[in-house]
Amino acid sequence: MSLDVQRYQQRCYPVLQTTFDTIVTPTNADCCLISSLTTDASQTDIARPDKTGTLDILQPQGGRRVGAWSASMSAAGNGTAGVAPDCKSFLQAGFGKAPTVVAATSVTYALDDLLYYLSIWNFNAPSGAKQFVAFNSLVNKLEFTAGGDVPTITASGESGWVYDSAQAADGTTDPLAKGGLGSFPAEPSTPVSNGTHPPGFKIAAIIDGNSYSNILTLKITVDVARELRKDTNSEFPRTGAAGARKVSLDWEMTDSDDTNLNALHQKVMNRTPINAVFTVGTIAGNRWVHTVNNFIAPKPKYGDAGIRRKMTFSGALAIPSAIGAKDQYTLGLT
Amino acid sequence: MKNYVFVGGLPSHIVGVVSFTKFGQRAELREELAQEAAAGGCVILPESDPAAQAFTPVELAKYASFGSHKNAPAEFLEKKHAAILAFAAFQASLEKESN
Repeated sequence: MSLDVQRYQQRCYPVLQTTFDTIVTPTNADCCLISSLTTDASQTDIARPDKTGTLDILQPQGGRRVGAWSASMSAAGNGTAGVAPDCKSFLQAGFGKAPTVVAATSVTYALDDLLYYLSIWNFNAPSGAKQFVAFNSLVNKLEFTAGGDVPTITASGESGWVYDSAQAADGTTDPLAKGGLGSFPAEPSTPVSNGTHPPGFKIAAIIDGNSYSNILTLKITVDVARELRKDTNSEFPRTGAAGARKVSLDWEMTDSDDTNLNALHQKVMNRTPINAVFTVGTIAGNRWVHTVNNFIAPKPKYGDAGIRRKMTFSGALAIPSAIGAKDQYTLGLT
Repeated sequence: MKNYVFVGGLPSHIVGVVSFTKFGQRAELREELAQEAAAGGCVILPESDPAAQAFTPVELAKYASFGSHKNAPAEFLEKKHAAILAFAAFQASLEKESN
């Protein structure tokens, strides 16, 4: 009797590739727990536009192949300062640079232009079901949220292709779809998982130099329009390139008669660029320090719900201090 | 098989083998698995490491819970800091080996 695939019995192993078109097999050390993971292959149909002399159309042919992936997870730090979190590969590929690690102190991710390809392994029970690897994957977007119970990270992007165990068993599979794999590996038997997320509502903010403990929600989006090349001579995408980088910030806070908040309101109204540091979590090794620099906060919306009035700032764009400085955003784990 | 001591600040799990839920928890592990776990961020040290041996049984009993470290005395925190530095060196040595 066949066994249904249990959605909950899923694990993700994002692994940095050293070479385009070469899948890297996962080890126990690569496991990253996820709350959601999709890795989907797609191929468009190319319909023949010619008329057949009847009302019927002809069989279409296969178009370009491409993959897409999306992963969500709790923002779980390792719990030990200076040790990267399990989602390290997503972060490195998203930021475009390896982190700066200071032993026993911090792991800091800063923006840069390097391009990393990931092999994102998507294993599900039962082991006989289709297992996937989205390879030549780029991170196009990273989103960090906090304010609720669980702070989250969502990463997503494009893949060169999504290879799976069923394709591996098919002798006719295109060699480019295999990413250099001779056979499809089994899931590592003893994956390692570390740490947990801090309570998402523990946000300490410093906005324009003043401390606030009345942040309600926070969202930081790193949007890097990386894309794979769609060549004229390959149905599979080829090496990627990075597009314009956009870091945006949204937050909500409780309104008050605080003089600093009124001063902030003035700066917002006259479009003065400001900096902010949002620290999610309080335990060493599991503090997520988001430093967002040089943004002009949009005019806040003053809501009319609940007992306390809140201020909602949406879509503040962080700009580097100088062209090419790439200092508009850093994420430190301390 | 070799004995290892967990010196991390939050739980770590080697699925199907051991869950480290206490500071100072010991486990006997295959060397290759321990190395893979350390490479994956599981903050363990070989039991023979001087930084792992620095903790007294009283300290390990008192500060087994991760939350208790917040109010731990400087002496314990210094030992913990040294243990984390030793782990970083252990992890780096593994990286060097794999290259």
